[in-house]
Amino acid sequence: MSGQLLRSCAVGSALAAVLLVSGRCPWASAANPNSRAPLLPLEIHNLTNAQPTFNTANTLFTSLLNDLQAIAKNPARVSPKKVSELHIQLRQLRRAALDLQILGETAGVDFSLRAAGLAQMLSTIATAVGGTPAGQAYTSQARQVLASPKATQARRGMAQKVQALLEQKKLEEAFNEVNAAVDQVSSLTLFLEPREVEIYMAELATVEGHARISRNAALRQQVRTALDQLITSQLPATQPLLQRIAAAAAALQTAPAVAVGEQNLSGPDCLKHFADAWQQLHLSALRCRAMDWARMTGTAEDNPLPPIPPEGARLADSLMTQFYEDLAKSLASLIEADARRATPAEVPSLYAEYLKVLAPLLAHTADDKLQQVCQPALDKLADKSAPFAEQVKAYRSATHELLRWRERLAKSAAAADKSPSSEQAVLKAFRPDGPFRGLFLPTDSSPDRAVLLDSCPQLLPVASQRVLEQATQVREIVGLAGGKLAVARYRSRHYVTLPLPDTAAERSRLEQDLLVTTQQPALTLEAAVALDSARRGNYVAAGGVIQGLHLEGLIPRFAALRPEAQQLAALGPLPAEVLPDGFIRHVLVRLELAPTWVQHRYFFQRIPSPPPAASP
Amino acid sequence: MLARRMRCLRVSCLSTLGLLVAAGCGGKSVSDLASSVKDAATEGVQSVKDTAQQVSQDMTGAAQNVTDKASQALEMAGTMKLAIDRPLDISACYASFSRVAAADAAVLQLQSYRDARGESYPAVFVYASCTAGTPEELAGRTLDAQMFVQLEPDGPLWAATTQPVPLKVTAVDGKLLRAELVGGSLTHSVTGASQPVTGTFEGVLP
Repeated sequence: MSGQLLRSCAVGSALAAVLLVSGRCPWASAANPNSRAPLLPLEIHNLTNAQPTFNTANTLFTSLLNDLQAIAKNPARVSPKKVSELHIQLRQLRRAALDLQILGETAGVDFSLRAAGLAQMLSTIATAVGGTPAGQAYTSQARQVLASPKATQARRGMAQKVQALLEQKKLEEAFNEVNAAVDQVSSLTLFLEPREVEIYMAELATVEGHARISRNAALRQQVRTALDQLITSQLPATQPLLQRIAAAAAALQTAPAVAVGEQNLSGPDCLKHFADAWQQLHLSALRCRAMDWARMTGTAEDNPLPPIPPEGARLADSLMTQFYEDLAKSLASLIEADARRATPAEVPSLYAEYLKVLAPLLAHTADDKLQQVCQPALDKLADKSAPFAEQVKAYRSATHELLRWRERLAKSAAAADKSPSSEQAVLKAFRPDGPFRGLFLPTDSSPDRAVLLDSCPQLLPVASQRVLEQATQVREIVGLAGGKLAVARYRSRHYVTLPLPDTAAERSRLEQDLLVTTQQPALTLEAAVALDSARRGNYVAAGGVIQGLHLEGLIPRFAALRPEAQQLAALGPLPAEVLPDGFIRHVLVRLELAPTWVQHRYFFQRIPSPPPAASP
Repeated sequence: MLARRMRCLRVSCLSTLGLLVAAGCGGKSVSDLASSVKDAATEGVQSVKDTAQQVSQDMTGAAQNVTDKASQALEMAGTMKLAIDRPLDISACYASFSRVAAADAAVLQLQSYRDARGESYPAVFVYASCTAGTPEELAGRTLDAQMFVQLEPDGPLWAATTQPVPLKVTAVDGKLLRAELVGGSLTHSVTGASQPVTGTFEGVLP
C-alpha cells in the first residue's frame, strides 16, 4: 500500500513536480517569483488593504506546500485526519485567493492557480489514503457523525442562522459562519462518493451560494468605490499646471524672476520647478491608470460584478499624449519670455542655466519633441547677444558634425550584433507549447498581452530553460540614481535591468571632443544632452546575456509605482497597452541582463566578461 | 553627386565659352575665317598660312583659358586622395576652421561634402582640435586627427577615434589648405580589422 501511495504521489502535474523538488523558499523576500525562486508570491499593491489577506494566503500556501512535501517523503504515514485538515486549508487558500482578486490583486490569480495544483496533489493523496484501513475507518466514523440527528439539526440550524444574517445584511458574518460550517462538513465528506457528499451538503449548499455571491458582490463594490475615490484624489491636474506655467511665462516677459508658491524663481529655476511637477504628475497618471485597471477588471472566478468596459476608464491615454504636446510648448515659452526680456549681459548665464536644466529633463523623455520645441527658443535667447550668438555658432560648427559622425559610428558598431530583441526573447520564453500554456497565444507576434494561465511556479522553470544564458538586445536604457544599475524602459509587457558598465574613458573622450572643462560647459543643447546622458548612463541600446527572469503583476507594478522606479516609463505619453479587459490576470516580465556591449548615442563600448572565479 | 555634376557642367560650359572666345579672339567669326581663306587663296598661299597660324594660336590660347578656368573650378571644391583597403579619390574637400574662444581651442575639419544635406558617398570626415588663432598658423604642424570614412549609406565605417591619425598641414595658401596623413590606421566598425591609411587633402576654406 505504501508503494501504491508512493506511485500515486508521483508527479501528477507540473506544479507537483516543482513543489516536490523546490524545497524551502525565501518567503520573507520582497521579490516577485523569478527563475531563481519561482515559489515567491507576486507582490501586491495593497491600495485596498489586501495585506492581511495576502499574509493569510501566503501562510496557507507555505504550510500546504511544506506538508505535501513531507507527505511525499513518507506518504504511508499520513493520517486521514491530517488529510482532512489539509483539505480545509486548501478551501481557505482558495477563498483567500479569490478575495485577493476582488481586492484587485493579481497575486490572487496566481494563488488560485497554485491552489489548483495543490488540489490535484491532495486529491491523489486523498484517493490513496481513503483506501487504507485507517482511511476506511475514518470514513465509516464520518458517516455516523454526518448522518446523526444532532449533526443534521446543527446543519439546518446553521442554514437558518446564515439566512437571518443575510437578511440583516450582515454579509461578512454570514459568509464566515457558512464557510466554517461547510469546511467542517467537507472535511468529513472528503473520502465519500459525490452523491453522498451532496446529501450531507444539502442543508448548507443553497445558503452558502447566496452568502458567497452577496458578500463577494458587496465587497467588490466597496473596492471599486474605494479605488474610485483614490483615483479621484490622484488624477493628474494637467490644466492647472499648464496655467501656472503660462502665468510664469507672462511674468518673465517683464521681470527676471517670478513668484511661484512662496519662492521667487528665475526662468531656469521655473523650468526646473515645473519639470519636477511634471514628473510627479506623470507618476500619478501611471498609478491612476493602473488603479483604474484594478477597478474595472472582472475577477477570474465567480465574477461578482461584471467588468467595466474600456470606455468607462477614468483616465484616457490620449489626454496625457495631448498634455505632453502642450507642456513642451509651455516650457519653451518660459525660455522665449526670457529671450524677450533679457539684456545682452544676462544672456550667457541665462543660456547656460537653461542648458543645465534642460539636459537632465530631456534624459527623462523618449523622443526629441521637447528638444525640437526648446531649441528655437534657446536660439532666440542667444541671439539677444551678438557676441554670445557668435560663440554658440562657432561651438556648434566645431562640434555638431563630429557628433553626427560619432552617432553613425556607434550605430554601425551596434548593428553588428544580430541577437534577437528582448521582445523576441520574452515571446520565446513564454510561448505556449503542448501542456505548457505560457503567457501568450500561439499566434501572438509581440508580447504586449501577457496573461497568467498557469501559476508562476509552473511557468518559470520552463521559461528559464528556454532563455537563460541566451544573448539578447535591449533598447532605451536609462541609468538609475546611484550609478550602479540601469533599466531598459518598459515596453510590450517587459523591462530589463542591467548593471551599469564603467565608461569613464569614453565619457572623458566625449568631454574632450566637446571642448568642455569644469570652467567651460557645453554651448549647445545637443552637446549638453550628449554629456548628461553619458554621465547618467543612458544608452540607445545594449546587448548581453539573460541571467534571470521575473514575473510581476501588471496592476501592482504600476498602481504602486515608486518615484525611484518611475524611469520605467519615459515622460510623455503613457506606455501603450492593449484595451483593459480582465487585467487582473495580466502580468509583465523582467529580464536581468549581463551586458556585453552598450551603445551610447555617441559611442560604442564593449564590456569585457568578468574573469572566471578562481578554482579552490 | 550633384556637386560633381555641376562641376562637369561648368567645365563643359567653359570649354564652349573658350571656343567661342577663340572664334572671336582675332575679331573674326567663322564665316570671316572662311572668307579670309578664300581671299588668301586668291591672294596667295603665304597669306593663307599666316591666317591659319593666327587662328591656331588663337585656338591654343582659348584652350589654355578653358584649362585654367577648369582648374579653378576644381580648386574651389578641393580633392581627397586616400588609400585604405583600396584607393579612394574624391573630387571634393571642404575645409573649415572654427575657433572656440570660450574653450581657447580651435577645430580643423575636412569633409567630402559642403554640408550634411549635400552629403554623397563615399563620405569622409576628418576632425582635429588644436590651439591656433588662424588657419595659417597650422601650416607645418602635425595634428592628431579623428577620421571617419563611410563608403555607402548605412554601411560600415572605417574610423580612427581613440587612436588618432597624424595629419600634417603642409600649406595654407589663401583659400586652399593642403594636408597629408603621415601614418596611422583606421579600424572597421563591424569587423574590428585595422588598415593603414594614407592620403592627401586639398581643402577649400570658406
